[in-house]
Amino acid sequence: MKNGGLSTEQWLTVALEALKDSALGSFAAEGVFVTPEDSALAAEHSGAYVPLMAGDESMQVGLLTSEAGCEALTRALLAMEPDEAAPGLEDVVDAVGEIVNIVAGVMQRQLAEEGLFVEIGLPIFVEGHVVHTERHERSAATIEIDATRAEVIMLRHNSGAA
Amino acid sequence: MLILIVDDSSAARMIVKKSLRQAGFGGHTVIEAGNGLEALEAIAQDAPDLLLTDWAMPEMTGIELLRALQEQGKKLNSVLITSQGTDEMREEARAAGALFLLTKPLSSERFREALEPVLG
Repeated sequence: MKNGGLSTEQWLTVALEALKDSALGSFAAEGVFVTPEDSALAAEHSGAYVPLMAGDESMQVGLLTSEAGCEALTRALLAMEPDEAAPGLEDVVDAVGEIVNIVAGVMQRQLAEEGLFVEIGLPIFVEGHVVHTERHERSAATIEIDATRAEVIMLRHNSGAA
Repeated sequence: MLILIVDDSSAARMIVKKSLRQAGFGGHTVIEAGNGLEALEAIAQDAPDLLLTDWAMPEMTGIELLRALQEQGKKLNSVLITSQGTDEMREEARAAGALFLLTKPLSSERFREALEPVLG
């Protein structure tokens, strides 16, 4: 496989599989379900993005959900007890960033087996949606991790749009 | 035993502590540091028995921390934790004196298998 041989939708598929594996393995989710359609979540939703570089390709993989969803994912990842106080903003930012970071790492290992080398950057946490223009390709799907509904997004910079 | 967990993310440190507990190593004492420089201070002050460090951190990365320990001639059982884990990183980790490199996501089973020889 050559760098850039994957479509944005194929990158998204790899991301969704990586998130499913991570959720079932790392934070013991009982059920993970993917809906291929982009649910166009509300703009006030929050989440984390991690940059991916593969050859001359530059992308972002993101996970967005509601405030309650971010808290639920944080609780799951940190194995917090139901009666534990709500995690602070810093923990939520760290935890959601860590989830996407783990997903990026799983993607990297899966793609390396197919001969595609991916470099990973550091996560950023965003509140609200990231504006994309004609210089970006966007592909997204809805994923349900137990009771948490979230959106997985691949944002790909078009070649030559640096 | 005294275990030093190094990661700039407090959530990631909590995950490592959780994994240690779930792997049956909850009886050990854990101290924490937020980057390599803080870890060097903690190592000088507390002399931990095991170092579990993230790779990518500001100020001083995990691999830089291990190299600094090598330069100081300090021998410490060290494990690098990363979400990536390429062959090149494994080689770098080995050359810097790491016992091994653990890739995320962490699970209690993998933690138990990997750390049993060190923590008993």
